[in-house]
Amino acid sequence: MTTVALVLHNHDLLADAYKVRLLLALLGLDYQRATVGILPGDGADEPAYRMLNPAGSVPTLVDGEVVLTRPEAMLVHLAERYDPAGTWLPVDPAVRALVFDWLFFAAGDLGAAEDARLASMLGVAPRRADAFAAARRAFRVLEGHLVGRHLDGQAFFAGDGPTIADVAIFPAVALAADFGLGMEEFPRLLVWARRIHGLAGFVTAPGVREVV
Amino acid sequence: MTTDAYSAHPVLPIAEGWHAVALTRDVPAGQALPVVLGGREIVVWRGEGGAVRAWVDRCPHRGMRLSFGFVRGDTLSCLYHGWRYQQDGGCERIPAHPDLVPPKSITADVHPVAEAAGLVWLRIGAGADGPAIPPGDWQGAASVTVDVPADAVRALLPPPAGGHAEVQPVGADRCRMHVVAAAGRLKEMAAFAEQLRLRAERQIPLAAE
Amino acid sequence: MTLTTDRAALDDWYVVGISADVTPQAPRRTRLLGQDIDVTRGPDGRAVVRMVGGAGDGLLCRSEERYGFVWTTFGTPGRGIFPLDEAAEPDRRLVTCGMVEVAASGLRLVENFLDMAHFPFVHTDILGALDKPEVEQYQAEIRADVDEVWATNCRFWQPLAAATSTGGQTSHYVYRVVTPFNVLLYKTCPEAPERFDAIALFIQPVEADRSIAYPLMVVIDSVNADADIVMFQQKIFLQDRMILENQRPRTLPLDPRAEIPTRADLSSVAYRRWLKTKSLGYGTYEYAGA
Repeated sequence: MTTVALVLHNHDLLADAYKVRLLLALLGLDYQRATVGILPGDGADEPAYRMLNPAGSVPTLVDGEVVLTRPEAMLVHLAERYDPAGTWLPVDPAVRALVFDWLFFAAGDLGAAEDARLASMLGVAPRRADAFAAARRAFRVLEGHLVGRHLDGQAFFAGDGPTIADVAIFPAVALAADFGLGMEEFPRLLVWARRIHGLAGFVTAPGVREVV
Repeated sequence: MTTDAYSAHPVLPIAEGWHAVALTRDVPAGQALPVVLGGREIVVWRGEGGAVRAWVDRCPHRGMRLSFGFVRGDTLSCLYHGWRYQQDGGCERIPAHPDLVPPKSITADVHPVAEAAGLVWLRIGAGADGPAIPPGDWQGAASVTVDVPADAVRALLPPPAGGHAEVQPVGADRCRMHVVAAAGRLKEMAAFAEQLRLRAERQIPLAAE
Repeated sequence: MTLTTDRAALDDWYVVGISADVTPQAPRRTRLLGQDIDVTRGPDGRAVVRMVGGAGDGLLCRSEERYGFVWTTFGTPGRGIFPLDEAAEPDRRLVTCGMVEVAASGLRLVENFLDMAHFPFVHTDILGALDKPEVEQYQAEIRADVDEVWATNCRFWQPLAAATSTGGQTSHYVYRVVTPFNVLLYKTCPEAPERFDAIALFIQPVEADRSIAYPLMVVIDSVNADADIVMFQQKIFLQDRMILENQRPRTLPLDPRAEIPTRADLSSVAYRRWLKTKSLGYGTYEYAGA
């Protein structure tokens, strides 16, 4: 029996972990999954985990010698190593740059959605004040971009098909109900989300609807 | 509609008659989406056969919002227990009791609906048989939410020639503007919509909710 | 926000914190029935619950610790905290699964907990399968002697009934509503099929349309780490939360014309009837007070 090189230190509730689990599923990759407790004093605080990921963030991806602590970097790594066809991270420099632009948006501005979500669900104090308003602003940017893409005859965030940009953005959008952000303002995001649900290998996460 | 009273938002008096609530292109076949009109929660959905519907966003079983539901063929099913509704609003299947023919009294609350000028319209109360629309061949450009009262947006209209806008009140301090355009002017009108939003909201910080 | 005047709601015990998380270092500020409270632990190691603000500002409230939680009451309950015998069995794991805030009346949370018909749609491929949605006839009753609502002979096909499952099973359920805001279920234990796992949902009604849910697992599980048991339960709960926050109205309507029960909803019908016999208003749509 071959040992599986990929290990994901995971928690099912976190949007960042879902980004990676989603791409792993879309790529059809086998991996080991280890659950890390995220409440104060839990597994993420333990010395063994901190040796692996000094920031104590979840998820952590281990691929042989490579240890990654940022979900967007995990998406890039998985696409580059396991998708030689360049579907999920196109080779064309202009498109690639746009994919990276959206990865950074997902990590930056769109991170407010997860703040608002964890605050709403667990009463965790959000890292930024007024996370809800910031999340709503980020969603407006997403919606505006999809309107422009649609008028260009395109259905995804960058390139001609789904890329890791879509994967990085999807969890926040799919989990918007968790913090009470009404999707009545974002019809293009709803249409796009349904498309993502339809991709071969797609998996959900807790709080993401199963049936579409 | 008495069930409007169950909405999570305060329900405001709005003009009787036809209101545009979505761009046709934003309700593709098989899609259900939520709309808030003057505080009323509404589901707009389109069957695979192409016909659009607008109902009160509430399943009569346990009050779950139907906008979370899923479309199969020309039916809309509630996400909670899968109760399935036909296009006329009647419930045709209750999965927990597969052999039961649901009583005709189990229906969604239906609004009269129309499609014209690239827009989906619904009627509140009494009114004309259809919406009044400008003549021409219109396609959807953009819909934007603006955090100001509907009248404040109306004061900044009309859009440039080649475009047409309808304003949908959402709440006391929020509305949605749907902009349609003649062929070849879509991107220009989508940009107009974004610019109008920025202008209208300039004095007001983005509301938290 | 002000403390409710609903007598039936006041005269009951409510969870307001997880014992392990209540420490002397910092009081936890939370809200119960519209009243802000501080929950902390005194130098003698006992939990302390005190009102903050309002007419009762500074008032010390009765408190108890049971099953891993801190409980309090603002009134005079007619009985103590209900018995949960399984919690004392030596081979049981007692796993608190954190707390989750929900923008819905606690009464809606109880009804959702009692419901099986949603399993295939909300907990797809876990607690139910889309091709097996039928809910078979079961029994529900108000047991006047213990003043609880019980549903028995409940059965449902489940692809993945628990963290210990390795395949599908027909789960047998017994539901037990011990107070308007506290509910338990007993279900077939995959690891020891002749015994029952117990899962409780204790609800802190923050306001009439907002709650904090505290799931508790009282299970036989020799395989999984606590983190996996917790994650399984949290996953189930988060799937329900999306539904709960999108039911309208957010409070529970007791008017029979407002909603339409079927035979699968027998337990909720009994539950709503029981709430009426108690004159419980808080958390219902019809209650005019706060």
